[in-house]
Amino acid sequence: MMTDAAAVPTVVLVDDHRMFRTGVRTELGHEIDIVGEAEDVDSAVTVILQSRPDVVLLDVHLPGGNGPEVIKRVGEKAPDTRFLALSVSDAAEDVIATIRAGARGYVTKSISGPDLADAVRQVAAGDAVFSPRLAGFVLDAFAGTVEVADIDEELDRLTPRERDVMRLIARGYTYREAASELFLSVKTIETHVSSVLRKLQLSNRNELARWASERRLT
Amino acid sequence: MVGGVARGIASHLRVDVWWVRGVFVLLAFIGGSGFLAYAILWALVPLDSKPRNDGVDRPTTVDGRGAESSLLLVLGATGVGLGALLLASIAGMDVSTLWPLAVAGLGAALIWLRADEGQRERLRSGVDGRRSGLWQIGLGAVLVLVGLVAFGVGGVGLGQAGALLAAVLVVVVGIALVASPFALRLWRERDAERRARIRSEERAEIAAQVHDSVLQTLNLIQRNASDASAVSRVARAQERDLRRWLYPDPSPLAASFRVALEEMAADVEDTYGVRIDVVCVGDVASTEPLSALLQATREAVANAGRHSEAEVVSVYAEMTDAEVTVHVRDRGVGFVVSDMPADRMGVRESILGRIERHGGRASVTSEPGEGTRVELVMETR
Repeated sequence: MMTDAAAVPTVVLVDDHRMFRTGVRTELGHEIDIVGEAEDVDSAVTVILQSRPDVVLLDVHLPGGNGPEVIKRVGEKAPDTRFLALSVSDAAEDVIATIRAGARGYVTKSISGPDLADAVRQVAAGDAVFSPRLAGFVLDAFAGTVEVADIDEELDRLTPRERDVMRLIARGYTYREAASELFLSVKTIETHVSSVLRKLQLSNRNELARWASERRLT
Repeated sequence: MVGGVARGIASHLRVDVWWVRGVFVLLAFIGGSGFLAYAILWALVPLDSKPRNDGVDRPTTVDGRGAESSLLLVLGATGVGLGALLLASIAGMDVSTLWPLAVAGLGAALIWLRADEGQRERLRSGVDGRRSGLWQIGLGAVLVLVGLVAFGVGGVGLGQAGALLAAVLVVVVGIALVASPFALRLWRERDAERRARIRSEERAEIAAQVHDSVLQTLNLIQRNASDASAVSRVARAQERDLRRWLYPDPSPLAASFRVALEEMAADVEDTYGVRIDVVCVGDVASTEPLSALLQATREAVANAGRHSEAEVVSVYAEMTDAEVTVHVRDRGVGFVVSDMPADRMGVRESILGRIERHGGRASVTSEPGEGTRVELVMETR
């Protein structure tokens, strides 16, 4: 864990709507430390590399490219910075593109202020953040059985435990609630979610590839 | 009768169709030119299938005249050519030497006709017909070339045919080289025009959507600014609407349970002004037992909306070919299940009873301060 739980995470806000940035500042200004703002891809890359925040709150749709573009361009240059994608859209293609570019989580802009602050802290602590819809998407994408020949490909399927965790998140459970429901520690839940995130980023499972190619994301 | 050519010409010239047919038959006896004229007219004259006035704002008078004048041109050229052939044969000349010229003339007429059509197409910018236009121009060019070469060969003798063909080709290539920049520019202009038109149509569609829905909603919100729940209800309904328009479900099944569930949730949202988040995994077609499941789910969601005081109700449905599982959950005030008054028909009858009657499983768990969870499972068949 890179940040002390008590420390206030530093955040860069990337969104082309000034109204939204102002809203986040007003609502979360005392819970997170907003060290920079940007409104398009170029300025975002510059600001992020200058201020090296713990977390970037990144709008998926930006002028001059999109959220995934920012993640790719910052890439290795700021290895300690983590990305939490924010979007008004729940469209599958946005979700998959952003996660596969390297975001540690995806939440929609309808999220409440306290939940957003929690999500930022979780991402800052190195955990993955899954909205119910993202969990549902994962269950859909990893549904069905995998050919026996491919079973050694660990990345292409979820373990039964991971599936249980995803189901609870899809039902709107917090990590804590899911932990008590499954008689696990919150830490174990976080581990499962991070592992699912890794599979989502790295899996070549047909469904993911198909989505990506159908929506011209590759 | 074969291609409707005679009828077309007749209706164009406003004479009886038999006159035209008679002329064709007569011509057919003179060196077979009637057959040729029929065949060529068949290829040239566009079928009169498209109505002239298709509602698009364009100068129809110019259009109509353009088409008619080119048709007249072709008819006139054909008539003059055939008349010349007729005269020549009566005068005892060798008609066969004139055939190549007639072929070349028809080729040229074909190209003119097409060029004129192209002009119209630019106005209409339809994609259809462009390809057939291209092959007609190609055919016309080949006819012109063949006709001229054949005429030349007839005059100078077969030995020099090769040299003549080469010379003609050189000239043709030269003309193509000179003309191509202009042609290219025309093509590009046309492309740019088409793109601009598509863009402006898209813009108009978006403007219409925004005007019909979003502006109306903003208006409503301003008028109800003091009533927070009305505002959030209107805004939420608008959000759903806009979302459906922006991100349409790629392939909803016919009578999909997923769609039915989302519609039900939207309806309850409007009624109780509570936010309902629906997450679905998989999809199945609606069946009789599933409609009971939908009713029970509606009851559970509505209960949460009425009593829980929670801001959000989460609905999760997992659908496989074998069974459908639905979870409804809120983080509201909750209640003690064993204390549930007997008259709370909603939970006992409309949820538990209904599901069990249809052979499904249902459970309700709740605690004061902990919210309520309802789990419903139903086999699809």
